[in-house]
Amino acid sequence: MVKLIAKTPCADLLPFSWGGVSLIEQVIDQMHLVEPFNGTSAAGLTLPRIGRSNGGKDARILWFGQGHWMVHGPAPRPADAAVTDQSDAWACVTIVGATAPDVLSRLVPADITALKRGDVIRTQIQHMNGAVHCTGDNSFDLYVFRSMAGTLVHELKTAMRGVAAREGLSTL
Amino acid sequence: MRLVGKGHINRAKPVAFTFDGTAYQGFEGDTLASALLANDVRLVGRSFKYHRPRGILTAGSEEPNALMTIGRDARAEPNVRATVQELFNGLEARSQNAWPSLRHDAMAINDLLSPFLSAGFYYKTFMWPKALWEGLYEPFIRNAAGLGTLSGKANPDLYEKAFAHCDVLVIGAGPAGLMAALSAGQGGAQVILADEDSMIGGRLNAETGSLDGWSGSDWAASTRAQLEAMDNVRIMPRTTVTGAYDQGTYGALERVSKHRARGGEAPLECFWRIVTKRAVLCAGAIERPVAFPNNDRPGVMMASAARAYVNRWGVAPGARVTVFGNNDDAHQTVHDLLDAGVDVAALIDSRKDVSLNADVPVYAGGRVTATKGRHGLQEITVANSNGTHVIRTDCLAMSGGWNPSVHLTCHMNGRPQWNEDILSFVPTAGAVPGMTVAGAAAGQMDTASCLASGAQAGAAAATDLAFNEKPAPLPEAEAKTYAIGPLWSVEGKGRKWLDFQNDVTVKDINLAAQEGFRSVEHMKRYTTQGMATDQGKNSNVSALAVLADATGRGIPETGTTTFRPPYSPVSIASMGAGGQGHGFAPERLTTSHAATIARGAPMIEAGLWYRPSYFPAVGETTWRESCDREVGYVRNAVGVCDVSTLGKIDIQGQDAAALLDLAYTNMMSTLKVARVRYGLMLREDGHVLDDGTCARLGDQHYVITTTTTAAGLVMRHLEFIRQALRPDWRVSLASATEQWAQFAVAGPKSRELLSRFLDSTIDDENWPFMACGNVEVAGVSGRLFRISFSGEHAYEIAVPARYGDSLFRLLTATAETMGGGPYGMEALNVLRIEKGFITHAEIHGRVTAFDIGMDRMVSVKKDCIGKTMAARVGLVEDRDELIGLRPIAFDGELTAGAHLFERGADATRQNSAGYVTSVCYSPTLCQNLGLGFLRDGRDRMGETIRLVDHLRSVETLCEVVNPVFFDPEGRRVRG
Repeated sequence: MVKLIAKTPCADLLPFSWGGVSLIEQVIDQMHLVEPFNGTSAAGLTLPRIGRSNGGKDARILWFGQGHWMVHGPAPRPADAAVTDQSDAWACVTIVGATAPDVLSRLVPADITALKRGDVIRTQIQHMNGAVHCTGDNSFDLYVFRSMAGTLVHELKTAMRGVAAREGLSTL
Repeated sequence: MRLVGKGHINRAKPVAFTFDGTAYQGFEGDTLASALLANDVRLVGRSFKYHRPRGILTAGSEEPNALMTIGRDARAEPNVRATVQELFNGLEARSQNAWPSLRHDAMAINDLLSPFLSAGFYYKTFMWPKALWEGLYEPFIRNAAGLGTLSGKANPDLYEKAFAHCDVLVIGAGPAGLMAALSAGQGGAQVILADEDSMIGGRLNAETGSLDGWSGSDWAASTRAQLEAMDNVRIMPRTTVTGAYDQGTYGALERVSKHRARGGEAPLECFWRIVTKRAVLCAGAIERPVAFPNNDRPGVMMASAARAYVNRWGVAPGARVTVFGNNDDAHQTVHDLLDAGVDVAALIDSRKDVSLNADVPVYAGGRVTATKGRHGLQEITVANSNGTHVIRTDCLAMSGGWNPSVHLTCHMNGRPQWNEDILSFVPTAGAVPGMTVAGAAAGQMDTASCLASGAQAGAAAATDLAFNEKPAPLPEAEAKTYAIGPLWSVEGKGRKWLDFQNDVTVKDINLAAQEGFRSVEHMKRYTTQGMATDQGKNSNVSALAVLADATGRGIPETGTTTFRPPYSPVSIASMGAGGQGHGFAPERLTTSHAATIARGAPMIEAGLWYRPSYFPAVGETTWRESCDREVGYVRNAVGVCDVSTLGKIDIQGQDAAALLDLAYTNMMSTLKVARVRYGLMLREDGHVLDDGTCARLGDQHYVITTTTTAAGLVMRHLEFIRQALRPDWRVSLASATEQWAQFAVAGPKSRELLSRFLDSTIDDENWPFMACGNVEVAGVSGRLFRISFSGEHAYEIAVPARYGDSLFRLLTATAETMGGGPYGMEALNVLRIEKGFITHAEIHGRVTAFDIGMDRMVSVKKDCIGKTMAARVGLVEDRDELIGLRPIAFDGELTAGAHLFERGADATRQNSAGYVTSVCYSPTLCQNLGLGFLRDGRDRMGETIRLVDHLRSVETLCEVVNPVFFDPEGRRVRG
């Protein structure tokens, strides 16, 4: 019996490190978009506030836009919300390192330094529409459409090289 | 020449550089300008129009004369100001605008022709004879115009763009800026302090006054250290804030590595967008030249620049210096030069009441009326009430007063106001929301006032944001009154230069006024004063004063032109950073991309997606061979094509069917579960928006498809319906484009191919044409749709994208064992043209359902978006209707974009009866086919029409036919 082989969005692209900053793929096993029909609440789910995330490591829920919440883990089944499988639709890359905020400031117009752990913003990452989830002091999960994984890695690498190269310059 | 014991250069680090091929030496900390002066190089360029020899005028970014090309070949950068370029080992600088050499410039003949080349001369010449315009005049003018040359090669330098956010942005790190940053920062506000210089301190590094007993530069360095120790303060040196934009956004250009040899890993420049809640402008002031006869000789420079070269760079600007000014500040130059041991020939002050505490001849009430020394100043003539005197001097340090740098306050269309006390313009309060001005930029002309005003402004900005803060303690500094007497131009024989960069003189301004260009806006454009890269920093106010005189008005009445970003030149490369090569746009790749590239398929761009054009087989030499073969696969065996790029929108909820009925022209609410229907969507204006399929997967669950490049458009359209038109509906929308890898499997053997991998059996009964549903394929949950874009028995199979690569390889490899294989966009296009199926080539935004023969698809039983507008007069009659075209001669050529004409009519624009939208060679029917639109085309089947392509010189007689060329009954798709 023939079996199909699965590939992750960033297969062959990551991991990558430069100048004390690392890029690691967050492999998404299961993830679903939940859209409550009333726009705010869904039975059986504790949805985080706008711009926030909640839940433990495996069952994490992220606010993901107007009336949108992204739920990591098995598909929830609330009767009063639409659920759409997005397990394969997104590429998720963790960027971590002391200068990770500087790297992101090359690509993201929002104020990265103002993000606290658990904050989620929908924003632009260079030319791509995406989401930034702050997971720690200098650690962020970046989400873009799967088809743009290559572009995301390319932009991040370029920004990382630019930031790291400043270390070697003297500051008079 | 170099002075001993002066300057902030590092004499332990000599730096080698070249200028016009000659090797020189400077020190770390030098600019190219200071190093040239240290080596007694005074001739540094030729002026734009008259090619007059020019020298270094200033010590800052306002420099109009010393414009050079730095570097060579692809990295050569023209129009770099020598006063801004920091010296580095191996720097190669070349002068501009001179041939064959700086010393002997052939174009200096322009100077002799100057009476014919005054302001606006090109409006009065180059008109006759008309025939010479294109061949002679224009190339000649193009060659002569412009300053500096680009290499013409692709630029390999790296550039960056970045964003920054803060509470208070302090622009300028001189005394006012440093105090503002301290005050704002001490309260805990997030502060960014930006300065265009490499060294923090502004004029403190160029002057000798003391602060709290320290030298100005020592105080600045210590304050810098204090600020660096504060976590909430960020210092950005070498960063020019270039513009003030809406809502507290400022553009800034950082010179990241221009002080280093090129080719390193670091970006050359970074263009910042800084978003701040408050801003304090501490940009200082720029000294004004005086317009006296022949005031542009190499060796004539600003009095404050002379001090800067002495104090900051340890360079004497001349062996015997004369100072000429109209204010007390110029006297400081005499003192600093004497302190440094430089010979001072005289002080010439235009005011009658002058006292100077120094052993130097003083010419009170004096004016310089002539200069001598074409390649370098040799002597000047001074006139006062005692007569005229000749002074031998090689450097004339002039000062006409100071202009506060108000530029950024005008970037949102504000105008500054005239201050008669200091004879300058000062900012108007509130000109930029959230920005206040402090220090010399606000008209404060001594160090003590600058410090106080900066501290005040910084504290106020922070307090405004609820960081309750008092001004930081002030160091003791001298307070001086700024005494100045008006002096705009001096009478005498010889041209008096105002705009050094564009070669505009007092005579030009007077000429403009004489010819009726009396408003400052007209004068500027007629004379080009203020339009060069220094943007009038050295000439605006003086020119305005001359115009005021010439038109008998005061300066305030004459007004001022405004300022627009950028404050100083910004490279386009920095604004476009990250946009070169792969960075230009996101590259959307399908899951079959790697396998497709491995097969050598050339790719085309469909929106941001990359799709294969065709899959070349071994031995094939043209794309047509591959395309014909792939069409054959689909018509005779089985072809596999990645169609993942088409938009897929998941629609759920109780009112999903209602939404679909409103969006589509045809009935969708009657669609049964497990069935698919083709649908048409209109825009509000009644024209076709897109076409696609709608599949019902469940009771309240639909998935619709869109054209690849219209996915975002349709999503927005549906969201508008959901949010704005019917917010009462219970319905949700989600993009599923990326979730599913989807492949068309098309051809007589398509079912056979799929059956090898599907867990359950499919036949005409349980899976008829237009059926859909969930299936298990090779152990994975997927979806199957029996739909066709080729007219053959066909399916689309979808699996979660993680399995896309694997499924594509499996399907194509298996297809190849069955006489088929993968097919690309060329073949896809041929197949659909053969069947008369439309794409956005036909529904190009200006056609209606009626035009494409689908008006019966607009249901009479319900309303839909666009239905009302589609019934407007003009949209239902005398329309260009979709038709097919066959050439009458078997090898007749058809081209898309050609127009259609009646046989007897001239092929002119007025006679166009239609146009061709899509063409192909059909290997199935062995001839060229075309689709297009013809006036009343549906009534003209069988007629002969003339196709004319004016651009490619093609003319073909065609027969008008039904656009469904192949299998018109549609039997094959159900087979």
